[in-house]
Amino acid sequence: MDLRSLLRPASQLVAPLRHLAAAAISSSPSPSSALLVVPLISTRGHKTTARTKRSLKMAPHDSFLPSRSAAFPAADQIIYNPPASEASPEHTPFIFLPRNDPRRLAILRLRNNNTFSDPSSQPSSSSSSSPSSTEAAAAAAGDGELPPEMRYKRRQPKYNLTKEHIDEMRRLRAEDPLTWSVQRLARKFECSTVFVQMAAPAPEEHLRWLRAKMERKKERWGPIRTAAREDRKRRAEMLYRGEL
Amino acid sequence: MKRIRPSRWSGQLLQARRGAGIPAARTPLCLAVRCQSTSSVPASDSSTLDSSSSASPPPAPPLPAPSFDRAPQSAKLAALHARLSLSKKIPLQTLARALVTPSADANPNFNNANLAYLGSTIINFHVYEYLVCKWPRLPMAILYEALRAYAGDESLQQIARRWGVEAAAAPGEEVDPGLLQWKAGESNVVNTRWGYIRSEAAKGKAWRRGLSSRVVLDSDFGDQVSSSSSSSSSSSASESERLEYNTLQSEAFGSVVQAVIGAIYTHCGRDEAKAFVKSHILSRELDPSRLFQFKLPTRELAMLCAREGFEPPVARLESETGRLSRTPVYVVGIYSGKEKLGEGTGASLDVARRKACMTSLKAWYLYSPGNKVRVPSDMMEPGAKPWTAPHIDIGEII
Amino acid sequence: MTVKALRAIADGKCKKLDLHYCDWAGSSKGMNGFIKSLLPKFAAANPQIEFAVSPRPGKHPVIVGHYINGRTKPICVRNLSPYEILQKVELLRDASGEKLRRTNKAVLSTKPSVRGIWSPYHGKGMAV
Repeated sequence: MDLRSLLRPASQLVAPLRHLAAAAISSSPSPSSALLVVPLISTRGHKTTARTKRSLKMAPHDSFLPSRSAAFPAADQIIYNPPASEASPEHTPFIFLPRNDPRRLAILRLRNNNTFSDPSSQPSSSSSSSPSSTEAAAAAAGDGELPPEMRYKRRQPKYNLTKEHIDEMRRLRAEDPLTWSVQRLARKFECSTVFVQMAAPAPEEHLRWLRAKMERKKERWGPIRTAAREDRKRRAEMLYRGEL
Repeated sequence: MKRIRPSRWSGQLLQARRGAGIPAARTPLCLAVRCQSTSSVPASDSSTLDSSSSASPPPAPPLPAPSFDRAPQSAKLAALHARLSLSKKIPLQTLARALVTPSADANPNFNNANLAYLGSTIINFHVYEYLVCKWPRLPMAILYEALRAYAGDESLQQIARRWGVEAAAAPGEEVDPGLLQWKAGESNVVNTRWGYIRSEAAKGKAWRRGLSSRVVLDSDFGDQVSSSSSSSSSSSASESERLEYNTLQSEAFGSVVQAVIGAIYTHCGRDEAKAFVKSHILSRELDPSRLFQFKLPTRELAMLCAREGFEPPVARLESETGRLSRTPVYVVGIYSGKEKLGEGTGASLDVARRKACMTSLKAWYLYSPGNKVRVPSDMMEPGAKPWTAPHIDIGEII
Repeated sequence: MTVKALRAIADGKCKKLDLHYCDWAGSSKGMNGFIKSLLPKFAAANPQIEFAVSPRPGKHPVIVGHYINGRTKPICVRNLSPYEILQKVELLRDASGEKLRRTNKAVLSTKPSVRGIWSPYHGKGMAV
């Protein structure tokens, strides 16, 4: 794609706007219309580094400042402004705190205060501007404000099998391990494949045959597929070591 | 933890028995010359003995390590003593003895083996009690590695090097006593590790060692105690040689730190030794969250929640970007009921979920009652406040 | 489990000072005066440093500082007066042994940041 052909229409688009703005300024010299022009021709760079830095200096966000509602030496307060970053595991979640931990009691007190004050307006001064603290969020998100659940395979134990079922499963597997495969038995008895493998292992020669089949399959793999499989294994190890 | 009573041993270990432990190859004359230990015999005694023995005509064979009566003349030793700000109660001779390893002088009356053993028990005791009180939920395997990170030979070697301890090119009588006397390649007969040599070890790798048996049978770091330190199964001969040299070196340097702490305990007492361990070993930085390696984090977290009676963990997608692009980012949080346990980011939903599980598990394991935990040995100070029991966890997730 | 090597915090300290002088050469005049008059007091005040005084005939006088991190710092002190040499020795004593480099950060720390690394997926954002 030619970049220039894209750029030209953009500049053409800007040019009449600039004329418009100039006309607006000339017709009615109000400061509000002049302010509207600024974003279009704003420049981040200045002649010197010092000027650039000075122009980019911003006042801190309100959540960093103490509340000005009361007179200055009103009372000590804590400015709670949680960072926009991933929570570290050093911060123990609420339910992981033991019963006698003072943090647990403090969070409980905080939550009780929040639930009492929430129905009315929020008088809490400092943390009101950024209520994204985990505790406050967890307390506030009581009614369905949690993020959507993910869909993934989850273990749902049923405990539906009795001894007769397992005997039957073993009999079928020993009779004809080819037709009564692990998957088929799991479907029939409505249990997991792991359970079938544990409860009704196949006869030794069948396992050997399966292993030989797998070996033959692996021999047909080319170098790319073999390397990809090895890499996947290595990646999983790195993930579990926390290096990824 | 093993029950150790270093206060009982220190006297016996450091008391030099005349003629005890001296190899038969030594001549009686040599025995007469060197029959003093740094701790038992005063220095005036040694000078008289030396003068009497020097009169005898046959020249003595050279000593394996510098004689301790040269210690007061060594500028290096005095500088090391001042650098560590050791108490005046610790004589330079003891410091000189702490620098002689068993690989240089096999005679336990003149090397640092006993002091190092005493020191290692003190170090391990203080590090263990600190770790157990600071992170009460650490699994045993992580606890072993954390102990090794604080008090293992590699870490102690770093400490010794930071003290300015240098090794002599080769140990010998003429060497400055302020240098570390060690040489590689010598079989270390002195066993400085506490533990049992297992009979099952002959079965090799097929035999599985459980963690709970490690607590009882193996060394302080959970390593197997073997009768002979033979390292094999390395890629090449030179590689294994280099590895062995490094381990021997770190053992030698580590024994200096242990021996100095043993000497402080012997001459100055328990409190001084504890303060020294605290300022030199426990002051180092360790991030225990780097020590974990998980196997099935999702399963482990589900088991944890079931054991503790929490609601089963559920993964929730908190935010995502670029699902159809080459580099998507998913942020997944793990929730138990309404409580968030942890979160993780990853390039696929599965990776993000597993990372979030690992973060949640780390959040469980790395629970700490605070930065200023009290340890049991704090109670030995005079006028200590009454003891409040630390948090004790019910154990690992099986 | 993986063993994590601990972070080695470069803790530079002077462990040894070599002082070389010449009896004959005129450039060592100040050094000889320093060794006779000022060094004993200085050495007594700094017991953590090992001092080695050795002749180096026919050469200019040199002071060499040996540091715990393995580096050395030599300073030639020819034609300096004893008090100027004392300043040099104090410089060597107080040096960390590291290479001199400009520090343009207010804080150097091995600890991780308290607020973490900013991430666009967290927090509520801030309207500018």
